[in-house]
Amino acid sequence: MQLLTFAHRPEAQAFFAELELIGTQYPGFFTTADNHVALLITGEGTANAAENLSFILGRYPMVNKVLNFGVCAGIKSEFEIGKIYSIRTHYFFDGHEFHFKSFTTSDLKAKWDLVTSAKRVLDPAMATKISPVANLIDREGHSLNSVCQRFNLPYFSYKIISDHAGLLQTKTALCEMVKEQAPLWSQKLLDHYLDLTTLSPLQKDYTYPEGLYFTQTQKRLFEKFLQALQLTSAPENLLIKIHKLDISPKNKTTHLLQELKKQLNPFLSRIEEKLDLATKPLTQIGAQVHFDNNYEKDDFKISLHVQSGQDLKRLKLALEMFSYDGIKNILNGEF
Amino acid sequence: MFENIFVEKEIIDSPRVQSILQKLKGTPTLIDSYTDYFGVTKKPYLQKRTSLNLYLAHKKGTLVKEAPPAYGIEGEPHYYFVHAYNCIYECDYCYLQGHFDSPDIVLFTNFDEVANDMHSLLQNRPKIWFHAGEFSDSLALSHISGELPLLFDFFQHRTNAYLELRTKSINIRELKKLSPLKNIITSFSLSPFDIARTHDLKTPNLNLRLKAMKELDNLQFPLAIHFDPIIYQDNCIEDYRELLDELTQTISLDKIQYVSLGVVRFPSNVFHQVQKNYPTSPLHRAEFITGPDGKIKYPKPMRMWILNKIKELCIEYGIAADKIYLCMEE
Repeated sequence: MQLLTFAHRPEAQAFFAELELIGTQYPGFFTTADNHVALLITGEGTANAAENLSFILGRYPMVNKVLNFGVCAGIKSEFEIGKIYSIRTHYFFDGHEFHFKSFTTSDLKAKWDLVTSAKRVLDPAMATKISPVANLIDREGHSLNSVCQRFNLPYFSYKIISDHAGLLQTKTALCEMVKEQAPLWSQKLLDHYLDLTTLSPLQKDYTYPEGLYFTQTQKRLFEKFLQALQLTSAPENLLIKIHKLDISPKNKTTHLLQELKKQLNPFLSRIEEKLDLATKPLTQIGAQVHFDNNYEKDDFKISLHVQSGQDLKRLKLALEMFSYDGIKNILNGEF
Repeated sequence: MFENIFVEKEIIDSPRVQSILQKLKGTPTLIDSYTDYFGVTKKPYLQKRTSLNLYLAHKKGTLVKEAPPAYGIEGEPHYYFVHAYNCIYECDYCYLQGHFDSPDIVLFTNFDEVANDMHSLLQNRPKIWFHAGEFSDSLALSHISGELPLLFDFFQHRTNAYLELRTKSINIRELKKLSPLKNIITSFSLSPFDIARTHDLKTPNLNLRLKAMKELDNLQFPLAIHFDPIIYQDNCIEDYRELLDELTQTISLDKIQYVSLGVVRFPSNVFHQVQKNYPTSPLHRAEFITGPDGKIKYPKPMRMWILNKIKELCIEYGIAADKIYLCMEE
C-alpha cells in the first residue's frame, strides 16, 4: 500500500477526485477501494505530522512506501513559485537552533535540501539564518522522514514553491495566498504523482535451498553471506556436494554456512588450515587447541581430558613434536 | 567547485582571506563562526558531489597535536597540524566520512598561530616531524589556500624540523614555484592501478601521480611513499610488484626518503558510513574482523603476512629496510 501524505486537505483536493478515495474509521485517513493507495491528512506542524503518521503506520503495516506532497517556501528568488522540487535531505530548525539529526529521502536523484521549521518563517532575518543549511522551508518534512526511518520505509517528498520566505510578513496573508492557489497547485502535484516512476530501494529476494533446516540466526547469516558474495542463492555445485552428505538437514545447513564462510574468507581459511596442520600432533591425541577469537593474540590454550597415565605420556610425546615457533610464525603472517 | 562560500566576519578583511576569495567565484556569505553551521546538523557525506560548501575560518583551540603511535618513523617525535577539514577527493575507505558530520571544506587561515605553536615545540629538539594532511589532502587545494609559501618560509630556517606533505593530488603547480628544501618531504599515497581505480574515487589515477612524482624528483624535491591503505585482493603481492616496477621507471628508489606500509582499517563508526555510502564496494567482501581496539581490519596473521610480503618486495627493489615503517601497526 502506497501512502500519500498532505498537511492540509486543500493541497490534496485533486487527488480525491482522481483516486476516488473512500473515508475510513480514522479521521483524515482515506483509501482507494482496492487498498492500493491511501491518503493521510497529517495536519500542520511536526507534532501533528509525527503523531498521525506514526498512528497510521502502526495500524496499517502493509504500507510499503510514503510519498509526501505539499507546499514549501523558497528562500532565494531562484526558486520559481509554482514549481515542484523533489527533496533530498531534511533538516530541522526549532526557531533558535538547528537540530543535529538529518534525514535523507529515498530519491537518489533529488538535489534540493529542506529545513523544517518549528515556526513559520515570516521574518527575512530568520530566513537568512536558515539559508546556509538549505533554501527550502516547510513545517512537517523532517518529522515525516524521521517516522519513516523508524518504520524502515522508503520516503519521498515533493514540494511546490508557494512563496519566498520572509517576504509575506503575516500569517494571514500567507494562508490566503495558499488557499487561493490550492486548486492549481493540487492539480500540479497530482500530475507530478501520476508521472512518477516507481522508486523502490533495491530489495533482494534470497532463495533458501530445499532439504535444509534454517534457524532464524542461520537465516540472517545465510543472507549476510549471500549479500557479501553478491549472490541471491547458494552456488549449485556447493548444494550438490552438501546434499550428498548423509547428515541431518540441520547439519547440512551448518555445513553450508561453513562453506560459504570459507568462500568469503579464503585467506582466513588458509590460516586455519595451517594452524590445523601445526596443531595436528596435539589434536590427533584428542587435545583441543584454542586460539584467540580473531587470532589477534599470539597465545593459545591446550586442553585435554586426561583419564589415565597413558594420556599423559601421549601428551608429552605430542608436545615434543609440537612447535611453538611454528604456531607463532603463522599467527604473525610468516608463511 | 563550491556551491556556497562562508567567511567568518572577524577574518574577512585579512589579506590571506582576500587573496583566497579573489581566486574563487561567487560572493561570500558572512557568518559569525563556522561552528554555527559546520557539523551542527548531519550533512550526508555524498552531498559533497553536488553541493560542497567552503568555510574560511579561524581555528581555535589546539592547533598542533601529538600524532598517535606508529604514525611516522619510529624514534622521532611526530605532530600534526590542522590546516583544513575535509577533502575534495572521495576514497571509499576514507575515515573522514565518519569523522566529521559534514563533508564541507573548512580552510583555517590563521597559519601564523600554527607557526608559533610549531616553533615552541621544536625548541631543544634535535629532530621533530610535523605532518600536514591529517584531515585533508595537503596539496589538492594548495592553489587556493596559498599555504605552501608560508610553510616553506617557516621550515627554511628551522632545519631540525621536518614537514611531511601527504597527498594523492597532482596539483604541484604551487609547489614547483618554490625552491625544494631537504626538510620538506612530499609523500604520495599510492596503490596498484586497479585498486586506485576501484577505491580512490575522483582522485588522479596512478599514472598521473607517478608523473607528478617524476616532475618533483627532477626538481630535487624530496619524496616519500605511502602504500596505505593496502587493500588485499587475489594477486595482491603481484600487483605491488607491478607497482614497484612502474615506480622504478619513474624515480630511483634509493632516493625515496621513506616508505610507510599500512593495511586498510576503520573505526567502527567509519565502517558503518562506508556500508551506507558505498554499499557495492568490494570492501564489504573483505575478510574483516573487529579487533580488540574496536577497529575493523584484517585478522592479524593476514595483516602481518601482507605487510611482511610487501616490505620484502620493497627491499628487493632497493629500498633500505630502515627506511620502511609500518603505519599504525605495532
